[in-house]
Amino acid sequence: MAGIRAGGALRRQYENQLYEKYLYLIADGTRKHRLDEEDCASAYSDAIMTVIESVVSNRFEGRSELKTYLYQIFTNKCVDAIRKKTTNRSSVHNAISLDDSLLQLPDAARSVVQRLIAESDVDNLRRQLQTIGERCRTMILSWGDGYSDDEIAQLLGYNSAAVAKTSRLRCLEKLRERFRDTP
Amino acid sequence: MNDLDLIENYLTGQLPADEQTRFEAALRTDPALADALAFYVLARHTATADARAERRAEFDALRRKAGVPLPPDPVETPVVRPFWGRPVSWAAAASIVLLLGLGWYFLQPGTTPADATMAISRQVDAYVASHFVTLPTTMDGGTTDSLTIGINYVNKGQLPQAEAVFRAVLTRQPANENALKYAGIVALRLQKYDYAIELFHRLGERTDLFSNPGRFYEALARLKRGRPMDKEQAKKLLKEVIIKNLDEKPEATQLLNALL
Repeated sequence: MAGIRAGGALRRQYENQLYEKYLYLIADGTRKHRLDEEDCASAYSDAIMTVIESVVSNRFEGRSELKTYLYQIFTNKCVDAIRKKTTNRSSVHNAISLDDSLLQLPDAARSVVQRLIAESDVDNLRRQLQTIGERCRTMILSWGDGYSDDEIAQLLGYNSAAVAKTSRLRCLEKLRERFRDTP
Repeated sequence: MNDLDLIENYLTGQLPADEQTRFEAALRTDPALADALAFYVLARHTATADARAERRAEFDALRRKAGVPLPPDPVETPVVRPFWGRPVSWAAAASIVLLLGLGWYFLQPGTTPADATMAISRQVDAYVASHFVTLPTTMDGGTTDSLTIGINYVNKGQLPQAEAVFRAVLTRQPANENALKYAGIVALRLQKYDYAIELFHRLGERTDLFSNPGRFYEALARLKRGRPMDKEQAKKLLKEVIIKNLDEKPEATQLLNALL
């Protein structure tokens, strides 16, 4: 947990260690919830990512043990998976979540930006991100994954956070051009 | 400074106040800037979603490499064989069995009522962590209403601000089902259990809704409040959810099994 919170280049290793430590929960889940292994594995991965986000953002306060916390979240994810299979209802959690940083915009500007976002071709953006080039793609995905410019600099061997940020913004600019120019 | 850099500095609060004002004014008159901001936000969202999908794939690779390990072996309880086949009197044999049985009973690690209550509370906490900390919103191009603002306060962890927003909506529209739900969720997270129970109860009383988790949420709030009759009341609510096939039935089944 401390390793994940500390961040930096080793964070991913600690996250992998966490994932591997409780892998046996998948077999436990297939037996208990009668889900197939793939569904349980997906629920387990989602639970691990939820725990990681909670640890990084200090939302996990440590009042219960990490294993207990993970187990309960995993159980809920398994139940979600069962419900999805039995009701065919798509989860509301699949909706694109509004970036809360838009809250600070004045109302009129926020409406305009929201409308532009709603009209955008997300699939095209995703395709451009896949083909933009490995280094740019890694930078942009790391940024999306919540890594700071300092962590990105360590991961990719830049001299400083400032240099990493400049490169990242250049990659974003490149992505924007490709997105704009492709129908 | 190019526009993406300016946008990032604005969104992360790094612009001085006068430049913030100029930026916001420019958004109204410069469609290219608004477009760039929309792109930035969408790019961030797409990057986050794709990063999660890749991470899931990496985890799958780790799992396949490890094989899926089996859960730890359950602890074997020793089998006590009665002395029926031995040449001892039945009375002596019965006494020995009784003594062994009593010894087994007193040596078993018991689950105290306090342990059970803690386990239920942890189960509720885990549900709250996975369902009530990040609430879904949708980008539908025009929703700037108070509920969306309140939800975004919740997602930022600004619960008192969220509470104020939802209370204001309920003042104007006391029967608004979404305001009842979200105000109840915020009250639960702020440990204002009495208020949370009141709101979820009002929600649960509605029979005209397609989707209504009111009864289940009220059960959760009662289990957290933990007053003398709350547990029994929570069981009744969970049974109602199961019998009437209301929202969150699988979760209610699981929680009720733990309570019984």
